Amino acid sequence: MNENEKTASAAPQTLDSAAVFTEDEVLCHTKIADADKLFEALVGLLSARDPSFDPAAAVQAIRDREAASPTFVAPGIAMPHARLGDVSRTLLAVATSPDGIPFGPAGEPARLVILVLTPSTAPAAYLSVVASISRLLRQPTFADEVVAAETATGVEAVFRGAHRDPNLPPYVCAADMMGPPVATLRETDSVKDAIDVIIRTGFTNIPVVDKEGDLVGVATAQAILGICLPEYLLWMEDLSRYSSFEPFGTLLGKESSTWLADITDDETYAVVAADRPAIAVAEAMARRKTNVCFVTDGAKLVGVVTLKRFLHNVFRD
Amino acid sequence: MNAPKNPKRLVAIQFAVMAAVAGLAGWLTSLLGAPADVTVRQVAAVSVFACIICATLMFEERRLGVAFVGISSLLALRVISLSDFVKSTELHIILLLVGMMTLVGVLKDIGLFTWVIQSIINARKMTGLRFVAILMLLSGIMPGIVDEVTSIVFVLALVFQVCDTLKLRPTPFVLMSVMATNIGSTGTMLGNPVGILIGTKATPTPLSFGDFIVHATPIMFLSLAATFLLLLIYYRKDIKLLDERLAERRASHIGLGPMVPIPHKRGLAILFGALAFIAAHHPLEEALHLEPNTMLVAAPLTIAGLLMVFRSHRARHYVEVSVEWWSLLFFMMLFAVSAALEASGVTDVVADQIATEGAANKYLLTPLIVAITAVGSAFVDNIVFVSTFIPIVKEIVAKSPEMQPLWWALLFGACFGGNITAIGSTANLVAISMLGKKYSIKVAFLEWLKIGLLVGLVSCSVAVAVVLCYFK
Repeated sequence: MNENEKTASAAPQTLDSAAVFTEDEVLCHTKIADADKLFEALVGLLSARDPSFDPAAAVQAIRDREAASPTFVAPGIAMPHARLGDVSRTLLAVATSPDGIPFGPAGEPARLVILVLTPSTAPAAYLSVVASISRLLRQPTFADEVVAAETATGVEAVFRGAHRDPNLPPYVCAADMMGPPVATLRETDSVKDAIDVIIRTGFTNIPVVDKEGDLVGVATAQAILGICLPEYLLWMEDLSRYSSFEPFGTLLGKESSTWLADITDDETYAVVAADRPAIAVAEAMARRKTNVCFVTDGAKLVGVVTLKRFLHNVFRD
Repeated sequence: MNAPKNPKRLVAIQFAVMAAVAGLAGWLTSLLGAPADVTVRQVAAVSVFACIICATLMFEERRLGVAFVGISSLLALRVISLSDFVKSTELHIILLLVGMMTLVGVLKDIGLFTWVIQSIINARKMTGLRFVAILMLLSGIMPGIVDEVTSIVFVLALVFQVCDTLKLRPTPFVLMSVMATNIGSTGTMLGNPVGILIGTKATPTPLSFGDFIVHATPIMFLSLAATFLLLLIYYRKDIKLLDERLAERRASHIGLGPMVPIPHKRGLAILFGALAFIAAHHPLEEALHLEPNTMLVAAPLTIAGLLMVFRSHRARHYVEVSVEWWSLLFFMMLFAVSAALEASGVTDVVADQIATEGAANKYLLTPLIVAITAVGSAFVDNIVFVSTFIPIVKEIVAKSPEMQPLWWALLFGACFGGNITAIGSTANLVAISMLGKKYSIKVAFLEWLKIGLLVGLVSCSVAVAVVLCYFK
């Protein structure tokens, strides 16, 4: 078993990108100026290394994914990818272009392209690649160093050097999946503020933070509904006699002066620490029967993972 | 010792304990007298009874199954015949409860209970003391009209609404409600299946709804008042906090929940009409020359039947959802086991023993019956104890007719004793389950026992004192 196979069999461990690709899978300072042609060239390199998959199908899958939404992970850095049934391990190829290759409908230039093929039955494989690359990109000069390297050996050396960072955790964690909170509410806000934010953002679970930014609870649309239609009103067989929304009238007149605490759930929402494995996010949402999980660093709110995002990352991305 | 982590192992241990207890109970029964005096039927009846008590204590979800198997064993061992079994299931009590549960389902549907809760939470000038007084009074009165389980579900909805809105710890208010409910369930014949059972089985003549109103209701109110004062002191900090939060809320002119117009007059008319019909059962029976308590069963059935006719689109819902078939079937099995104990002569032996010890002295027997049933009901469903004690009290009263007040002692001991522990009554179990589901709160056994024991002592003392003074 060679080094690459060891990496693949160890999935879903973190990607050691320097082990998954070699200098043979690098197109350094490529002159190709068309994304489709670049896909064919990179897939060709991977096919030479692992002939088990169908290159044409791989290129088509990558195009389809790119058509669904461009895969930029940072300005100038694209990560086209596909999950294939006949790929048995994670394959990665890199292209650099100082001038940039136009990607997507807007033709945004990509200076660094990292193409990834992963087995369709191993969702963690692709997530590991994304998590590892994201961490690499957090190093301020990493992308510039890769693009500046003038040879394939140089590109591989930059990746290998970056992986000496001892802080890389060995799994995809909650922080790798989270996005920024779309909106937050302060403890001092009113129910009116909460209703406004819920309507404006379309999100039904809004985190409530204190002045230090610590998560203290979640204001939910269901809780607003619960104020208007408490359990004892739902005992009645039929509420259709209240065709003028009478139960809502009480709150409507007082929403500005009703404390947010009235609709803040301060106990039963899903929350995980940023450095916990991503599976803990799914566990928290499943146990709490909710579709959103808040990510904290200590008590401070640092991000949000929605169930939609989680499912997309695991099953489709 | 650590509890086994494997649930299957735990169940196996529970079954082993149940079998051991049943065996031990049977063996002890066989030691009661000379071999010729103790029959296989008596040993079998006591063993099955012990099994049902264990099942009630250890696994609520399996108790009906255990009861089914127990009754089948008694039938197979000829402890009870098939016809006696059918007779002993007390179908008239079950049908009375079915009628009342159907009535409750209709009242819930048409918003009467919603109106009651809404009226309380939106009452003007509500203070902590006033709220607790209303809460305990409501908890005390409602079970006498509906039943204790229905009552506690409604009252806790009010408690949860107030505690959620005011961000208060719900446990003290839940305990206040449950304890008032257990006490209030003695107020009328309908408050507790125990009341119906005692009323229909009492000797020399069955007790009527009116007898309960005249004798039990005043004692219930006195015990409730004593308990109210005790709880005011015990939970003074929580009540003070409630008072402060209510004052803040009043200052902001914000209510504790939505206020919607509910057409409640129809519900009130149905409720009071039904109560009047049931309360009039005794004069009606006399006028129509019917057996005692015939109309007590016929009245709820008539009301339920008429409501189902007029609300035919919900009739199935009332029968299938509003009626607690699980509990009713368990009651039927339990009544049959008690009948088996009686038929095999076990209860005669115990009655003789108690009557001898108590020397037919009501000043000794009244507190003794209250104490035994209170302690027993603290750990086992009170209907189990009452159905077992009925033949015993019947036997004592047959020998000494002046002992008739023992029926009331039995009622108060069984119902007030339910307050002592968290597993003492069905209302307690329902409240604990609701607290757990809504807030993930578990009430520690000792937390309940501390206040439960005090409430049990105070309320039972009041009941014993009044029964002894009142029935001279």
